[in-house]
Amino acid sequence: MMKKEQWIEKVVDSAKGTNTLEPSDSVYAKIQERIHAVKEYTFTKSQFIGIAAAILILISVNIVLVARSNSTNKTTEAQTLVNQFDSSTSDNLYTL
Amino acid sequence: MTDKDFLEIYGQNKGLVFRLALSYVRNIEEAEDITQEVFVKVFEKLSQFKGNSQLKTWIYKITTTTTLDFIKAKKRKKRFGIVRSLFQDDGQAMDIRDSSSHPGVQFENQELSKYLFAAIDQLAEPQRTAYYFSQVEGMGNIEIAQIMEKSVGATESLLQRAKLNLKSQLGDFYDEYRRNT
Repeated sequence: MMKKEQWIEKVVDSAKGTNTLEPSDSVYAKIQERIHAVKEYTFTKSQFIGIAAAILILISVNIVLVARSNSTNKTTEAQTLVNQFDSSTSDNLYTL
Repeated sequence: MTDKDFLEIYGQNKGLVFRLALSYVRNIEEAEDITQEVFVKVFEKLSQFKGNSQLKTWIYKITTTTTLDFIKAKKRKKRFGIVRSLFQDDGQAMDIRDSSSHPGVQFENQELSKYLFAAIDQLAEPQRTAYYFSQVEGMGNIEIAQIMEKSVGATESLLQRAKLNLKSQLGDFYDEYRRNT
């Protein structure tokens, strides 16, 4: 029984001295490398807001332009129709 | 956060992170990979750290989660290759010869430390970490309680249970040790 207790004590003490281990110096360099790689591909909050605002302005400008060009087309089509009608309903029977 | 601030955080905590990871994986390269992973997470999430707990507590939690995820991923990989590990996970008696010794242990103690770490592996998670901080890192109960965010009383009873369970596990290992020597 005594031997068993002594053996357990020895086993428990066997890990003493492992609390001084440190990672190698290359670990910090690798962490820095990974952090800088992440930094290159991440936007800050203000950059993200700027990009979103630019996209919104671009979409708004496009909508306005498309709407304007549609209304201009409609006006020209209506004008053409009126012109055609005018010429077909002329009082002058000899100018056809 | 400047590189200088980060270097300071790294300098103050690298040893604890590395050694805690090493106590689980018992492989220097793997423990260094985990250390790397932990500090990248610390850098990325430091802005989310609210300061409700100590920075050390927060880093310890990241270390534990990262290490356990690493071990799970490693086991998953192993399962595809070795069918035997499936049986080991099902609660069958473990073989000490499969247990690796801690690389920081002195050469003459390596065989004995295999039994110690195999027994530590059998402890439930909070007991295991509390035991590690107390017996291997040599921390006091107050410091352990702070890091693990428990009361000093709860830490003491956790340690007491851990020591009892460890002793009982080592008692079982003793017979096997006798057979092998």
